[in-house]
Amino acid sequence: MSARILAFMIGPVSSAAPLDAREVEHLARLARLDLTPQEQDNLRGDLGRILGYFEQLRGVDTAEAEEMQRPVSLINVLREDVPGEVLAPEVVAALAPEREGGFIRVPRTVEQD
Amino acid sequence: MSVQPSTAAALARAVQSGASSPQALLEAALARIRMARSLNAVVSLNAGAEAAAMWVAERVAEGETLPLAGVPIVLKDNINARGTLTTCGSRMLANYISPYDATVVERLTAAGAVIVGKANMDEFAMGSSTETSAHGPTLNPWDRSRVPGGSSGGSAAAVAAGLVPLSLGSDTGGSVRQPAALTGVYGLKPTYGRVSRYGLVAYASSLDQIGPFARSAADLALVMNVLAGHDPRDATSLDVPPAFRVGSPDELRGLRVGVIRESLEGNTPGVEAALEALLAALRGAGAEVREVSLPHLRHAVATYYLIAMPEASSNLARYDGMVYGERVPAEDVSGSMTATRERGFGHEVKRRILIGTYALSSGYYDAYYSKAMRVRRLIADDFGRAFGDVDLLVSPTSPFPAFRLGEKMGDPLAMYAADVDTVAVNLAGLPALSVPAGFETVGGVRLPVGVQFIAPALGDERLTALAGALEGIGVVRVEPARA
Repeated sequence: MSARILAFMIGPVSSAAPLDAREVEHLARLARLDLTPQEQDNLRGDLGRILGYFEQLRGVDTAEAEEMQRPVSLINVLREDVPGEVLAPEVVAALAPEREGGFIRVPRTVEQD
Repeated sequence: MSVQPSTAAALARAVQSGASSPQALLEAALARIRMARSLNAVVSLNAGAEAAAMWVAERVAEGETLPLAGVPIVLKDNINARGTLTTCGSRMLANYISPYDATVVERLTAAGAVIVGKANMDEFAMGSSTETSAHGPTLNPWDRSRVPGGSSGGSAAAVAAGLVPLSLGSDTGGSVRQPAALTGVYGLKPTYGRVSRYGLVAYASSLDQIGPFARSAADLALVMNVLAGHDPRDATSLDVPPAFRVGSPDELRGLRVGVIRESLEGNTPGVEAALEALLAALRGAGAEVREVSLPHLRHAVATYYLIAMPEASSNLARYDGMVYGERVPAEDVSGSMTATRERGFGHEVKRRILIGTYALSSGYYDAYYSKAMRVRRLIADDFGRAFGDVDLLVSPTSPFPAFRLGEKMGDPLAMYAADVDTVAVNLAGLPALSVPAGFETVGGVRLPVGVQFIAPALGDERLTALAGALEGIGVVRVEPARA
């Protein structure tokens, strides 16, 4: 697609600087992703460009606009606490990557002494 | 030689009258899917389909009348159907078998439909071309060197190639409408809340909506009357009973149609011509066509991605390899989660999770996520004002027909721009229908072009009525793809 069409459709893309490596590493840690150095490199550039593109929203006057979290306004609806059918424990356990007896086995979660 | 594939309505009638059987329709659908394997539209088959077909046959034999008796259907691979693989196009869920049925599956099955298999999709519905799938891309039945659109590209291609008369997709930012346009079929995104999402794997929960692909207005109305309705298991589900029908040409008289001015720039000549032809036909049938402006639409793509990515980063936090899905073993739990996610997710998913995490992180929340939610309000208000003057809005579904495989994979912003005409509808929660509106010939190949009609919230019924009227005046029709 030509740059002309891209600009028409989505507005100017500011040439934002790539995110620095430490920032990307921090984000990856928060998101539990262990990026390869190659992935880190690619993502630094991509993230910089995409975040630069988002900058256009800064110029929009939103002083009067309330946040719109979802398209329908919801009210809390309470229901009677009636027992119903749920998935059988063995059905749920069968989905687990590792099992032991009737339990789901997970890697060590606490430090050993 | 091109034979128009049977509609769902015709197949259900044949089963109901005894002229055909659910088992025969299933066999025929499976044979077509096998023949079209190279399209890579269907990624797994439902092992329980034969039993389901037999059950439908028994019910019909007992005198039940079923609106979708024996109709073979495929589901996007992010919709749970008991006993089927539900991979979401991801390595993360490569071996995940659903233990339960989504509400839409319960409803389809109760109506006599037979789930034949699951359709390819962009990984976790993140993409506009079906190229980010771990199963590899789906090919466009009109031109196999091109994409079918996305993210519900498999569902669209399956209906376009005549493998099945109906399929389901999910539309978070255009993922039903855009592939419908690029493959020349109908694709409907209902009002947020009209179709239950219980059993749909979440991508961006304030935007996701399940919707059907079909080859005729009658089939669209038929399946929507089955799908729509309240579901206590989905807290965002609306209690509005469905009343879908097919309209006639005389209903176009006096219909006020607003053409979205902001969507008229940057389209290919074929898209422009198709839109113009459709507008001329509407005027000819007595509709009042005028231009309307929705000034905040130019920020829709940025706003959409700034809302979808944070929601995705939060929704996808559940894939840690602990209780289901793939797990990469490691010394401790945190190492295992990290290794699992690193191996399980593809590039686009990681990109969106990282940006979403960034936009939600302390110090950036106000500048990005909160700001986007405020612009979202302004976009919804633009629609509200426009619907004060018109009954329906219209725009191209996509500014261009199907693009080449690989063409946009190296440039995420170019891929995101493919959603320019569709994302605003999701932000506002509105219903919208992409109708097949003609063709653009590119390099000697005819490629389908779609036009999108948008209705006010809960105006979904207007869209199937309109589709029927447009078929009635001959300006919209689905042609078989000669794949």
